[in-house]
Amino acid sequence: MTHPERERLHDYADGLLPPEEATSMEDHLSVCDACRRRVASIRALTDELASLPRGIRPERDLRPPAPRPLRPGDRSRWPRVAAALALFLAAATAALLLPDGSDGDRETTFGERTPVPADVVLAPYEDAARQLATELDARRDRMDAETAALVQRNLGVLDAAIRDLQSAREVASSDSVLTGLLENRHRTRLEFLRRTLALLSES
Amino acid sequence: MIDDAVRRAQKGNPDAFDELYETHVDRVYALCLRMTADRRLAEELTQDVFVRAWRRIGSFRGAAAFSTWLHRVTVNVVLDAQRSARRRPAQLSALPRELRWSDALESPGENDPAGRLALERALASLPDRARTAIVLHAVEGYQYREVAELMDVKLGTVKSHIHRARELLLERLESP
Repeated sequence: MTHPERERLHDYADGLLPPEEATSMEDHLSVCDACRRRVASIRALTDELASLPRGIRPERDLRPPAPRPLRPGDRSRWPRVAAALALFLAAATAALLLPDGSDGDRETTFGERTPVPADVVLAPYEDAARQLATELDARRDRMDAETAALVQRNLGVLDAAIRDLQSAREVASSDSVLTGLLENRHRTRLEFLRRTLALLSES
Repeated sequence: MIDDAVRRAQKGNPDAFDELYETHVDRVYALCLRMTADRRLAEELTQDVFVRAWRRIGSFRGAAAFSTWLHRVTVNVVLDAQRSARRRPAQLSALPRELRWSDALESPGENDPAGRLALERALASLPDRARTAIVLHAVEGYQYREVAELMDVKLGTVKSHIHRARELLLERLESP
């Protein structure tokens, strides 16, 4: 038996074959189980795809601040703030992308020293970052939408890097290299928050 | 006709922006996530969509529903990002798809049928253009011709992307 091409089966399942070809396809399907099952599968898949939920709730708040009318001086100020943050982020991102063994602050962070429990190393960073993040939240409405989105996006990148390393550390909890990398990421995040706040104060 | 929240947002009312975000974010994020199969990128693009939408909301005249307008903004933001990514091939494609796939879909809610997760995973595993085409057509309801215009490719190309996507999905769902 000669089977129709796959493309024809899809066109038939979509109702796109001209009437003459559709009739000849139906003749074939009436005697061919395999093609009949294939058409049924295509249609069932189409129905399943169409019934997927249209909405998925993101895991974190992604809203940018509502835009506000420009005040005198805004036009010249925000590009400078955004440019300064972008410069810092370029450097921070480059550090994040470095292979693990070539991390910039490796020697000063976790050279040959005696291992210290990770929680003790990281706690001061986490406390300081929490404090700065609260301060930043309180002043978020002073940023324009694009700068705020840039800040939020890059905090997301830094948080994700920290989460990845934390997951890795759960598997190898005594690994001092991972703790050192984690400390560097926390330090980058802290520095980013500090610079953002400093730039907000200057602007 | 322009609904009340949109009209208030056009006048700069911050509560109206919040209201519009709450109403539409799930749909925007779902579309970004399905088109990219990458949670972090989908989050970035969702933010970009709202930044772009808020910047342009003044030009929304109500010829179509706001949700339709925002949906189109979303599709354009994602397609623009994909075009830029193709010009810079290094980063995303270097990561295995499984690692990029969304935690959001790892734990479907209680009301989700068991097959949904398998289908979402299979969708995420498709080649980029095949996935984009089938999401726009089969999930979002765009006609072949509209998908071709959005993706800036020929109609025949869209059809073959979609047929290929279906074949791969059936294959992966039949033998997981």
